[in-house]
Parts: sequence; C-alpha cells; structure tokens
Amino acid sequence: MLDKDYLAVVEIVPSGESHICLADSGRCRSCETKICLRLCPSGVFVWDELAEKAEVSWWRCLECGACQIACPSNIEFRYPRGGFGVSNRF
Amino acid sequence: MTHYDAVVVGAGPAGSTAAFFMASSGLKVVLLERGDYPGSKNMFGGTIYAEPLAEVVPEFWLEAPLERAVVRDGVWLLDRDSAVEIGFSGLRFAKAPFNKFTALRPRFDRWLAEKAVAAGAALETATVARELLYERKVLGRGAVCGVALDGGEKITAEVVVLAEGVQASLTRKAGLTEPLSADRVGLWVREVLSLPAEKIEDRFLLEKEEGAVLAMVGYPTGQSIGLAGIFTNRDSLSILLGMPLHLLMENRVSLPELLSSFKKHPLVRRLIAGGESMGYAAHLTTRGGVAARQKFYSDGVMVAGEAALMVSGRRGSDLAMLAGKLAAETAVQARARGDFSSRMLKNYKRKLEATFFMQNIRSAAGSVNYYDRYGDADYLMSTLANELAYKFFQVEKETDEEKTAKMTSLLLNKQLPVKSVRDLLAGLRDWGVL
Repeated sequence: MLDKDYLAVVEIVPSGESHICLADSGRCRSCETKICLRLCPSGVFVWDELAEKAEVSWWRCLECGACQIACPSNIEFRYPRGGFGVSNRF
Repeated sequence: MTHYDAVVVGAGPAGSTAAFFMASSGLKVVLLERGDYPGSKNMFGGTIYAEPLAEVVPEFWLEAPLERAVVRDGVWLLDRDSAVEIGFSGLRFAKAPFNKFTALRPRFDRWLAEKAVAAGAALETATVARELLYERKVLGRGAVCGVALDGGEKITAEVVVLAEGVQASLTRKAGLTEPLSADRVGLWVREVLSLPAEKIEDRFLLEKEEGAVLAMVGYPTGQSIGLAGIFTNRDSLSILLGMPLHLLMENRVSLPELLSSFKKHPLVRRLIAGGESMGYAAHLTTRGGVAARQKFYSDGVMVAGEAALMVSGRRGSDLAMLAGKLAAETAVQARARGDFSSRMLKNYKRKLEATFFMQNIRSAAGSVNYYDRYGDADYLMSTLANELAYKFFQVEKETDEEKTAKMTSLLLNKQLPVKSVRDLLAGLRDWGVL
C-alpha cells in the first residue's frame, strides 16, 4: 500500500463541478476488474461497499485521462474548466 | 467576436513554437492555454534537446530557464540488490552548443510562450477550447473556421493549429486521429524532490551546471516492461516511473506503489536521500511508432506535437517544436496565397514527411509490436545481466576456465525471447530507455 499521500504537495483548485462522469454507475457493480480503482494514480475512484458504487473524488484528479482509456464505455473524462484543476508550480 | 489569422490550441512546445513563427511573420495569432499559465498542466522528465530548440531560439541557453546541461547519461539494469550500469560521460556537452538540458516544464513552457507573446501573439490562459467551428455548407461540414471556448465564446480564424497534447479531444472530434487505446499509451507518474545543489553534484559526480540522467529498467516495474528515470535539476530531482497502460491493467499494479518501492531500492534511496517532495504529477504519453494512421491537416486545420502522436522513443517535446515550426511556415505560405484549404495545407504533411523524426516514427512501428509480444524482455535481460555480473565480479577460488564455463551455462539456461540485439535495442529505444 501507499506509504504516503503524494497529493499532499499538489495544488488543485476544484472547479465546483465534476469533470469525470460515469455513464451508468450501476454497471460498475457487475464489472469484474474494477480497474479504475487500481489504475488511477491519484486514487480518484473508491469503491463504496455499502452503496455498491464507485465514489468519484474528482477533486483529487491529476488530469492524466488514463481512466477513460482504461474504461472507455463507462468513464467520461474531460479537462476541467479553464483555470481550474491541477496546477504545477515550481 | 475577434477574428484572427490563426488560433493555436495549447501553449506547450508545439503550440508556442507555431505561434512564435506565425506572429514573427506578421500573422495575427491567438494562443490558447487551459492552465492558468503555460506549463502549469505539464510534466515530463525531462530533457530539452539543444539542436531543435536552437532552431526556434538561437543561443537559447543564454536566456531559457533550464536546469542543468546533461553530461552524464546512464542506463541501469536494476535488480533486487544490484545494478549493471551502462553509461557515458561527455564533458563536451557542458559547453555551447550543448546537447540537452534538464528542465521543468512549468518554467520552460512559460518562457517559450512569452517568446510567442513578444513576437506579437495574444495569449489567453485559463481557456479550454471545447469545439471546433466549421463553415456552413449545403452538404456536410465545411472548413474549420475557429474554436468555441468553455464559456461559449467563439474565436474565428483562417486556420486552427491543434497542439493540444496527448488527450487531443478536438483532433479526435475532427476525425484526424483515432481514439487512444490502452496498448498505445504509457502512463507515467513523476515526483519532484528538492535537494541542495551540492548534494546533487556529489551524488551524481557533477560539477556546477552539469546534469545527469539515469534510466532504469528491470526492478522498477517488476516483471513487466516499463521504465524509471532520475533527472537532476538545479536543486531538485525529477523521479519518473511509467508503464504501458495495458500492462498496468493486466498486472493490476499501481504506479504510486511502484514509485514508493522504487524509491526504497537500496541503490536508489542513497541517490535521493533527504529529498523533500515538492510535486507529484501523472501524465499519459503516446508510444512511438503509431503515427502512420494519423492525419496532420484538413481544410483550415493542422495538428502538431503529441496530439498528432509525434513521439519517438524518449523524444517528443523537441519534435513538437519542429512540427510547430513547419505548421507555422505552412500557415504563412497559405496566408500569402489567401488559401487555407487542405490543398494548400498539404504542404505541412510534405514538410513533415521529409523530417528525420517522421521517418523514425514510421520505422519504429514494428518494434512496439515486438516489445508487446515479449513484455518481460527487459526484466529477463536485467536479471540475467545482474546474475552474470555477480558471477563475473565475485572473487572465487576457481580457474578462469571454470568461471567462463559457469557464466556460459548461466547464459544458455536463460530462455531469452530476444531475437537479436538489434531487436532489443529497437525495443529499448522505443520505450524511451535509450
């Protein structure tokens, strides 16, 4: 497991609306791999055992867009509105 | 509504270069960037190559925000507690005209975009272009004539240069490139660790202003192909780790977990010890060798950089700059003729076809497939090289003949899937190790 929260040093300005949507959140229940949970490098997708659905913590998103390629039929990713989201500063 | 000669989507290396050359030739240009400043959404290892950049800004090293001039390049075949190190140190690369520099994109991209602005381009930041605008036609859609922004605002132009990077949503909507598939992209994470310059210089055997790049295969991504890299910045290290997306999915591995265990490797942790985390990013890259099915232009539109899959091995940002320049030259010619139809913009493709990198990209197409068939090639190579090296360097009471025999049997007992050294080199190069 992760020994640290890599996101602690990342500046993210949430835009107030999710830029990641599930086309049909009910379909995740029967998804065998649930690969989004494992794949996302910032842990945006978390399985809610009680509700039996994926929680989408889009405000953690690093905007790589890998989720949509890994799950093209159910995950819709677009860039957040201009000026919002992740900002790398050095 | 403002009308421009050219609207450029994306202020990365391709977009800023295109905007710079078009504005320098007197075109009215607007450069759109979705981040709050150019570079704020970007990451790479990474290095900026001197020769291509000098084509854009001669003697750029006098002014560009670069980190270190790379004089040491290494490839480590990393195993659990050993590494076979292949490396080169060339001090000639510490002097003009240099070879390559480490850089941080948030600094570098901002500088390059400022060059475009100084040449006369307008820069609009915090702006996402969501749709292309098309001319009305009785049947079907006409030429591209601008973009629609986030807030619904429209910008019209004679030509749109799409330099929107790997996601390439407008390029895809325009039908100029295929949807990305998991086996055609790599996913990368990068952490930046701050470390005093003297420590970096001591640990990587550098003098002031000199830099090193280490690529590591084998251990970092377990039994699957993949790559880790350490790049020395001025007073920080960039640590990268990435794998083909489809292998990440098949093996159910998590990049942040791999990154954490990579940083704990006994030979790695001594290089990065004491480094304070100051940044973490994730990014997709297209894997080289797939540009064959890409369209680079259509009526009123050209595509440059990673949106057009212009990646060859490790190289991408420099190819993007060269392509941006060619797109700009084409736009300037089109402006002189008053014709931005595909008949005229075809010149862009002609110019691209003549470049070394499009030829490299095409010839690399086969090796990506080869590497995919033998996904554990560099794990096997790495463990074998380390076993042989342990055997070779270990001091024992045996005759030279006995030692040679042992090493030969070790070699013969491994079933390497590598057809030839040439194949392996092609594969490594393609995955950006070399």
